[in-house]
Amino acid sequence: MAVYISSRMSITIKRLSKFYGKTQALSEINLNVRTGESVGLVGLNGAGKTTLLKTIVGLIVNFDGEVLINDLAATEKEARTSTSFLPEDFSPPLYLTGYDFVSYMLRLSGVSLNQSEVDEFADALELQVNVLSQPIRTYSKGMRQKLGLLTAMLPDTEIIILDEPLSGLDPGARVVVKDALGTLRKKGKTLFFSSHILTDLEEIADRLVIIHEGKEIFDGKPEELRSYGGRTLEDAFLHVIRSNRT
Amino acid sequence: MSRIGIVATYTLQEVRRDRLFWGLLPLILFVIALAFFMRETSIVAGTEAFSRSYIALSTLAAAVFIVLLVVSSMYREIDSKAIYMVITKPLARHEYILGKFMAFSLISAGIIIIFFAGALVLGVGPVKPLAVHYILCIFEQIVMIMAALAITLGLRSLPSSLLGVAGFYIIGHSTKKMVDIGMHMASAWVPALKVFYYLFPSLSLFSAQAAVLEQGLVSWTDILFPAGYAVVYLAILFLIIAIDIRKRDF
Repeated sequence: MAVYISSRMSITIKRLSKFYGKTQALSEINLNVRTGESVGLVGLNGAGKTTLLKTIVGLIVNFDGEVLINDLAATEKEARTSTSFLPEDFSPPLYLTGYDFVSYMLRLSGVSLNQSEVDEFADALELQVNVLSQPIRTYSKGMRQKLGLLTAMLPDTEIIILDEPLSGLDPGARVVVKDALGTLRKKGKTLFFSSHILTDLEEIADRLVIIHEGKEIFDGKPEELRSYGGRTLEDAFLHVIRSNRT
Repeated sequence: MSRIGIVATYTLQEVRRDRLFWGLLPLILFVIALAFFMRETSIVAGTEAFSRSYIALSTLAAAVFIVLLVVSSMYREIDSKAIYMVITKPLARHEYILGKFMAFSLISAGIIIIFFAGALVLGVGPVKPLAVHYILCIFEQIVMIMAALAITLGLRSLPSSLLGVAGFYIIGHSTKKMVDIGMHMASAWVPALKVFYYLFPSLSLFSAQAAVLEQGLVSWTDILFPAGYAVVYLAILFLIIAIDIRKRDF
């Protein structure tokens, strides 16, 4: 099934810079993500990936430059009607049940809980339906991550932003989550996500963006990254990083 | 339901299953049981001493209960990044704060009602002054809740937040004494001391203990003035949090 990518911009970032005190986390980032596109964000630890994603979803509000979601400033609550976000290393409220948490997130997005739809998505993520009735404190890390993904996928928002969605998952769960992301991609959702695992990214992303020390140093298709040399995508990635080392 | 109501509903749902909540509930029962024991065994001499002890213990226990609940719940939400999921939904950050405030205020009102019922059963004092006292207690609690929310969001650390809120409570109950001493020592400073008195949390305003002990009359002004003060103080605290959280990076 072909993936349709619109010419319309879902995410527009212009000259984005962010300082934490005197430390520059992001420097003059310019980036556009088109509707229906799947973009993977790559970088070493501390490169600025999470800062960039947090700025897009309105968690970071003090920055220079412009970040627009469907032409609305990312800091405005109206912009968040079209986005869903899954943070890295996240844990849902421990004393709620899975259903409670899903219902909570859906209602905040203005959607009411449709149990059969939740069960269907949970099934796709191999999250057992009976587990959703239990308190989240009984869940494993992988189950919590899947629950987070479920709540990010369910509101049917146009843009889904995920910070390291595959981290902490065992190989089996990674395959399941990648399949779920592939399904979203086919449905025409705009995906913007970060990951350390380049081979995973290659499977899901139409485009890769590499940031290093807060600067955008590569923006292109996975095949283009491969052309930088080396046997694997990781080799090519390291080559790009080394050639841009300050 | 508004988004504030949704945040409040699920906060209540979470607290209902929170181990800390069920761990703290015996504290309330313990205070009531202790007061009963004290009365029956005449550990405290006289009705007045008994009433004074019950009022002091119940006020303190209610404050400890709600502060621990607010700080631990908010800290957990920040530490687990669950707050990220909530505030990236289409709701304003101040709506999130109001939802939390609403939920904890309802819990607090429940605790105070239990203590009020305990006071009536144990015959701590006449109904009307007791009712006024515990209504004022609710006002004190809601000021404490807003302060606890502000401090926890600001400090984002469990021990520091607990210490901060404890400091707020202690200062709140000491300002009157400090101002009284100051007035006694330097009468020229009275206007400045009065500003200090109202600017700092004057939690001792939220008490009708004297009326309970003296079995005296209570008037509307006994409620209206502290209520007005609480509303103004809450509004100022909320404004500070709303401005701070709007401009804060998470």
